[in-house]
Amino acid sequence: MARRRDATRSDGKAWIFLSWTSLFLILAMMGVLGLLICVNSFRALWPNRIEQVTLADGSVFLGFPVNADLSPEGLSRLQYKVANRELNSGADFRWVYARDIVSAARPPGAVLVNRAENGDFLGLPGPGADGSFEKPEQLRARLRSYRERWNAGAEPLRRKLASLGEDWQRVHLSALKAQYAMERAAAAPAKEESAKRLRAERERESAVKAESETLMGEFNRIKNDFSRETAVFATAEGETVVLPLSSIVDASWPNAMTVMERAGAFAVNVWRLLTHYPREANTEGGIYPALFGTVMLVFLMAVSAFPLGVAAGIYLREYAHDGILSRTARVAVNNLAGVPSIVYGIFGLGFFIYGMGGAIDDLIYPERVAAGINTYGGGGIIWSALTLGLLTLPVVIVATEEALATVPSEIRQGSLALGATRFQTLWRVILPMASPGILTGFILAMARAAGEVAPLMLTGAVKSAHNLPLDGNWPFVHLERKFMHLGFHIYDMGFQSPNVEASKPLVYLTALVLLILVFALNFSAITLRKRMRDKYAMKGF
Amino acid sequence: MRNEDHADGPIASAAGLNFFYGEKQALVDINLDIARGLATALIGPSGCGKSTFLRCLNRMNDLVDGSRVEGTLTLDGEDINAPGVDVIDLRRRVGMVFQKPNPFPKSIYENVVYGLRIAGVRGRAELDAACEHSLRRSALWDEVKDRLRESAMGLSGGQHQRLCIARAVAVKPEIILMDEPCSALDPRSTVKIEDLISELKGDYTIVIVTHNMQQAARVSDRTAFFYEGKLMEEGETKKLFTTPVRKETEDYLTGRFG
Ligand SMILES: Nc1ncnc2c1ncn2[C@@H]1O[C@H](COP(=O)(O)OP(=O)(O)OP(=O)(O)O)[C@@H](O)[C@H]1O
Ligand SMILES: [Mg+2]
Repeated sequence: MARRRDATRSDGKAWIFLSWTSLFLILAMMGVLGLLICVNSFRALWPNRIEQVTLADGSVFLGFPVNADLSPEGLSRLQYKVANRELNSGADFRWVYARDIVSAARPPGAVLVNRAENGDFLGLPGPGADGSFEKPEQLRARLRSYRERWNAGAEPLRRKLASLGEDWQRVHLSALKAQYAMERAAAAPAKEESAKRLRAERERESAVKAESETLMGEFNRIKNDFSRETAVFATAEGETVVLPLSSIVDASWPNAMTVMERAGAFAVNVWRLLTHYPREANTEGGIYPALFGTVMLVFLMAVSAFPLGVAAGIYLREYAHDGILSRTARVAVNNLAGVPSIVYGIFGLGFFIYGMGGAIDDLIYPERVAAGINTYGGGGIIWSALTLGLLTLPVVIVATEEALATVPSEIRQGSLALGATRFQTLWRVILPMASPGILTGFILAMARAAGEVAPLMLTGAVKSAHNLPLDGNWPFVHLERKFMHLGFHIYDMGFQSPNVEASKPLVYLTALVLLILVFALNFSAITLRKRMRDKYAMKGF
Repeated sequence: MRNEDHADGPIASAAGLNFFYGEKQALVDINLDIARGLATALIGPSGCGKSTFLRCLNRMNDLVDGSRVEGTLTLDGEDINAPGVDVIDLRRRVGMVFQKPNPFPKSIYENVVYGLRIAGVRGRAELDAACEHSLRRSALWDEVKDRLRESAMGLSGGQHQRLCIARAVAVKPEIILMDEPCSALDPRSTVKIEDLISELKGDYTIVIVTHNMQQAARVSDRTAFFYEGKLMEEGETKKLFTTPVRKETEDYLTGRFG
């Protein structure tokens, strides 16, 4: 007997050690993951110095050292981002053996040009037509003035063109509708009527088209004028490169920057990341539409899942009799929480998009269906939100039930004994007391859903969507539109990109933004719970 | 609503009352009159059905699935289990104070006026007056008058129980049921509650369940002794305590069981 007790005691120690180790392992893994993402994100945003590398064979290039490893033969190698894609037969990166490097310098005049196309350009100042070299501040001033003139002279036109494009889309669709009505009209007067409408629409359509063509011509002319302004650079090898100012997003001279200037550039890079559209198949530019799409998706999901889930939880806990039906419902809910998210995606595709969306299209846009155009019958943010809502629903229901169960029955009875109805008791006493638990569960579910990707791939997330689901064009909220999403964006850049290496920094950055979003949600859940607890604290119970 | 013919008779009376929790019978053929304006104590060993009887009076037992009542229980001559009776109205007429103080996690003020608010009273002045009146009646006013808007959870256990009494008093019930109201309280708070009961009776009919014989003797006018779901004996408190008729009563009072 005594021996057995001893055995359990030492077992207990081993057990504690085991639990401690697993906890430590988990923490360590989380720490490494977080560190990896943070360090790489920081490196992607912090202005790095440009190195000018001279090799043993006499060749010279400019680049950022990004990686180092041992080759299979055991030689140390360095990877440089050399940019200048169009000059390097499409490659942005280059490996060199450390032993081939004769010297690495950091010329203060080295310039990093962020271009609208072909990725970055790394170079040195180049001689102008008169043989003189433009100073950085001169070029910077020229770029600023160029941008101001562009914004004043060309940008309004570009906007006008974009909105004309949308107008055309609308008129085109209503022409389609008129034509459809005409083809199906039985009686002669109705046919006549819709034919008249169709003619009117067609006229409007061609008017819009003509206007947009005129504007387009003008815009192209202006653009042409603008594109005549250029800046001259040189490669490390001394080759002159002429870049039109229109292609330059930004030019910087990182080797000459002070720490403060670097910090400033860092802040600008963060801002660009969050507010700019992606460029060049998502390998460059920012992640604004994905961030916007994610936030809006989570919002729509919350709006759809919260009331439903809370109502269902309340019903199950407060009103349903403990019969077969409620027990089945409870088992079903618990099982739903374990269904893989891709299955929800398939359900969303089948039920929401093909079923509901298709029915909506058949009902209100038969002419578009006839022409093979999807409106609601294709992926859209609303369907994604509903699918995600469905996915979080079980969690919300369970959280609600559990939160309601924590309210002491004495409180319930106290209210009922004062002549309150069940609903009054629920509304005035129980729900306020359960709200911290309900909200916490809900926000945690939301945080999980915010990072969910699989179901979105089937229900409306796309790699590139220039039109946001919320904008200044009537009717402002476009729930049927496809959208971009941070999680899907990570997948797309990391695994579907034509230039995976170049988009790597953005993958880390996007992951960081998504993590911050999720942590922010979790953190708000914790603060909310604390504040509610303080308010509805049950001291003495 | 109230039956004036019964103004002098017992306020409530049970006749042939049986109560079942599913299969289990908790009350057996209870015949008991609750005297108007007096304090009646229900005593008896644990599990004998005191609480069950109490909860029959405001039909709180309705909340128990599978429970069932037989016989009649009248309030002012009306059968409270009759089909057309409004339970909400009944519970306003028969208030209840529980064993464990159960204030709501709201302000003191909101706790007191809760019953009025849910009854649809909106007038600010009316609510304020009712709040002050109820708190005064429950001897809590002086202690809380400066912090009515603060959370009730900050009060002590004894204050909680008086707040619950104030909450019950605010809806002006005819009867206040108290199920071991002092069992969770310290002796000083107990004394306060006992004083309060003596203060309230007359205006209100009080039915109190207690395990404390001294307490029953101190606060009640009449006492009913329950034993194994049956009413053994009922009478004037003094008489029942000094000269019990039934042997079980005597055994219980002398502490031979329970
Ligand atoms: N909700 C319930 N469901 C089933 N049986 C119950 C329920 N409540 C009470 N009972 C049973 O009914 C009987 C009477 O219970 P009751 O609570 O009325 O006793 P009591 O006299 O108040 O006891 P105590 O002094 O311990 O409070 C007990 O046997 C008890 O087990
Ligand atoms: Mg009891």
